[in-house]
Order: sequence, then structure tokens, then C-alpha cells
Amino acid sequence: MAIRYYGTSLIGNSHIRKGGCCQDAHLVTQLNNGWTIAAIADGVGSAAHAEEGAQIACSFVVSFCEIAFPLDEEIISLKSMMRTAYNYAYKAVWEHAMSQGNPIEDYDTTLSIVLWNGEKLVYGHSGDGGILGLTESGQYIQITTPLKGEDGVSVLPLRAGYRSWSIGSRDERFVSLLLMTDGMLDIFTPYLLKETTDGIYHTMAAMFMRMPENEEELSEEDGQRAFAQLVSGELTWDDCEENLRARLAGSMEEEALETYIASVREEQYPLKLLQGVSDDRTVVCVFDDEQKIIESMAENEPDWKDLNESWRRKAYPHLYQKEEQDE
Amino acid sequence: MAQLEQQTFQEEALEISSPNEPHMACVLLVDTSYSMEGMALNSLNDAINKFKEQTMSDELARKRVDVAIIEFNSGVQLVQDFVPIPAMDTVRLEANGTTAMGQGIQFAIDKVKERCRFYAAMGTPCFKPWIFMITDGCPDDAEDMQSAMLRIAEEEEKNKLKFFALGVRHYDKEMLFSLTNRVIELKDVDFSSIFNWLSESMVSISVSRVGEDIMLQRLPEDARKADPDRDLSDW
Repeated sequence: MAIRYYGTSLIGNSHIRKGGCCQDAHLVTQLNNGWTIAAIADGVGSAAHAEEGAQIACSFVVSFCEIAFPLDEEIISLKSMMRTAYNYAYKAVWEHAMSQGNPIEDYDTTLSIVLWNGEKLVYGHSGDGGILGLTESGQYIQITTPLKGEDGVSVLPLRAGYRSWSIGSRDERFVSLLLMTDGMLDIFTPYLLKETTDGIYHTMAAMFMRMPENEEELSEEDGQRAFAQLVSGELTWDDCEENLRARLAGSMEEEALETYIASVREEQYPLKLLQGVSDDRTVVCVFDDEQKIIESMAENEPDWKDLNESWRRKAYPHLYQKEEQDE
Repeated sequence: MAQLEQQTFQEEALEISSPNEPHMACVLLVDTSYSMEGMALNSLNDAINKFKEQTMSDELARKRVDVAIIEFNSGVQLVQDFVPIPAMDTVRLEANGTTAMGQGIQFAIDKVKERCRFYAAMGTPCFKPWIFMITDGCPDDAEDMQSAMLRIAEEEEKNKLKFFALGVRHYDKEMLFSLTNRVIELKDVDFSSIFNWLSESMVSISVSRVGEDIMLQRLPEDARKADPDRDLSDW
């Protein structure tokens, strides 16, 4: 069992333009007992000291898990610890706000975390970021869903309290896990795919979550550099193609792979989506480099025109009624 | 009563520039009371129809902006429900009756909120919606105006709406300022330049990122901010 990870937090263009800073944070640590703890936090844009809230939440939730990790490693114990860890992180943010004489809303942040040893997975989630998983049978899974307020737009931060924290476990055997803040999650789960089986843009997910066959040969530094470049979107379409080819080479027939890549090349949406993220970008990928995907699944670029047509039928039903009447 | 010319829904509009195409709701809220009859309404009809042609020539605005048209006179009518710009019908608004402005504003806010709920339910990112009201008169529904005033303030406070009021001829300036600081005054009844500005604004928003503050174009020469001394920070 060899769990590795890459992670990066990059300032978004919207903050660069305003002379701000990256309000995200991430932290990964590996315990001697084989467990990896990975956390991400996204300071809420409207909060005055969001970046501090994100840093504090991330470091306190991880440090609590390190200290209080249950010896029995049972799921029930891990979930119990996770709930306390969330409360500990929340309290740390609250105490910091009090010490600075500021309202806690000024430090609003999301917080998502995984505890994984390659076999068992426990997660905690608060806010509108997300965690995706790739199983050994090649399926992508949305482990969490964005948690938003009643208006469907406002984010429910850590401060929303224990009733709005989602803490759970999954039984599937995963090959990799991806934690990301909302700006990045949106491009992995574009709304046109909302009503598909898993809601995930597989092409995008493959570029991050499937490991190339030569992954073990990469030094940690090179792997981290390539990952950060991918997250930044500062790459060419040729880079994207090379990435996809390397990651899918072992799981698809060569001809099918080339047909698939050609279909993605038409609109180059993965690259356009990556380059279009204006928010801060934080992504952490945790993967088991000994665990292989045991089933091959043919990948297809979604039929975006068809999906758009379906959206428009809901958005403009009166126009379609009119067309039918005209006919 | 408005008349519409039927058009076929364009298949070509299915093209998307991104699987995460954001959308924007814009309501044109038009005073069609009797006082608008004649040159004013003729010019407005022409300007709205030209607005469509001009805005749809921009690739992103064509795909992202959803426009609805609501008129108010003695009552309120939905002239055109939300449609993408290329599917806008040609309008022939006609003048009659009095000025139920308060009811019109409330209906427009209801439509915008309903639209934003739809975007949220579909997971569709959306820009802040606009209501662009055009009037030449005074409202005759005082109670509804009070509610309208509060609702505009509430939505603007929550950062969920941009309300503009365009006053022409003998409009009531103080009344419009009780609704919003974004009051524009038109020198005469030629709407072409201001709708040109509206079109450019829609294009500027369409090419921006959701949540990004954009700088609007300068108003045309025949229009001006009705009171430049007011707080104009949120234009």
C-alpha cells in the first residue's frame, strides 16, 4: 500500500485583479499507521478575514485527527472523532475571531476532509466544495454534494454548525480521491450533466484522477509540479491530449482512445473550463499508486448539444410549445 | 395591448461556448400607459427590436442573456416570457390606460426571482439580474408602490438585483429616486441610443465572470444620470 498525494492552492484571477490573496488552504499529512488525512478549506469571498478562517480550520481539523486518531480504526470511532474534530476547528476559528475583536462571520470558511488508508474512507464536509472518488471498477462517484442555503446560492460555512456538517463513510474500494473548492468542482460537475448517472465530466476527472502508468517513476517534485500546472490551466491543448492519452492508455483500446480524444479535441472543453475558472483554485488528489482499476470502461465525450437542448426545454418551455403549435 | 410577431425557435442557438454556460435574466419593464402614445412608444418599439438585433450579434450575449418584457398600464401583462435574445419576438407595444407601476415592478421582481430559482435548481451559474424600467409618468397605485420600493431595497441589499429606471418627458424624478439611485434621464423620446447602451452593457456582462464587478459604458449623449450627486458607486 503506497498512498501518495498532490495538492495545490492558487490565487484566482478575480483576487489578483483586486489585489487580494488566495483565501483557500489545504493540508495533507500521513500517519505512521498508514492513514492519510487530507483537508481543504475555502474562505468565503465576502468575509473580511476569510483566508485566516480557512488556514485555521484546515490546520486544527487535521491536527485534532492526528492526536485523537482512534486505535481501533473502526468506522464508527472515526466518524465520532471527525465530528469532534469539526467542532474543534469551528471553536478555533471562533476563538481567533474573539481574540481579534471581530465577528466570526469575518472568518467564514468551508471545510472538507478525508481519512483514507486505501481500504476505509471516512469524510467530513461543510460548504460548497466537493470530494470525488474513482473506484477500482473505474466509476467516478460524487462522495459529497455542495451544501448551500435555502436560496440554493449562499454557501453554508463551517459556522452553520453540526446540523449542516456532512460526516460519513464509503464502502467502495477507491483508487484515488479528489478534494476541491467550489470553483474547481463546478468544472468537474458542469450543470448540463446534472441529470446524468453520476453528474461528473469524466474527461476532466480522468485528467486528474487516473494515474498514468509511469506515475511511480515520477519524483514527488515532478509530480507535484505537473499537478499544479494542470490545476492552473496554464497548459496547451497538446498538453491536455498527452495527459489524457497517458492516463487512459492502459484502459482503452488504442483506436477507441484516439477516437475519444478526437471527439474531445473538437471543442477542447476541458482546457476551456480549466482556463475559465476565476475563483481561487484548491485541489488535493490522494491516490494509491499500487491500486489499479480492474475493469475497463469505454469513455465518451458527452453529447453537449443534446444536453443543452434538454436544458433549454426546461428553461424555455413556452418556445417549444409554440414550435409544436406552429407544426 | 401588445402584439407579437411569431418567430421560429432557432436550432442554431443550441451551440454552446461552455458546458458551464452562465445565464443572465434581464427584464424590460415598460410603461405603456396612454401618455406614452405616439412618438415615444413608436421609438421604444423600434429600440427594443433593434436591441435584439444588436445584442444577438455578440456570440456570448446571444447564448447567455435571457430577456423578458413586461408592460404596465391599467394592469400588468407579460408581453414576452424569458427567452434567449435570438428568440425574442418583434414587439408592437400599444398605449392605453393608467400607470400601475407598483404592480408592474412587483411582477417583474417575482419573474426575476422565479428565474433565478430555476437557475439555482439546475445548478446554472448566473449573473446578477437586471430590471430596466422605462416610464414617463407617475404611478397611480400608491400602496403597491410602497411594497415595490421595499422589495427593490431588499433585493438590492441582498445583492440579488440591479434595478434601473429610465425617465422620459414628464417623469417623476423624486418618485424614481425613491426606488433606486440608478435613475437615467432621457433628453427627448428617442430610445435608440439608450438601448444601444443597454445592449453594450449586456455584452460586457456576458463576457465577464459570474460575480465579477464590471464597469459599464458611459451613457450616450442624449441620456444622463438624473442626479450625478447621488451615490453612484453601484452603477
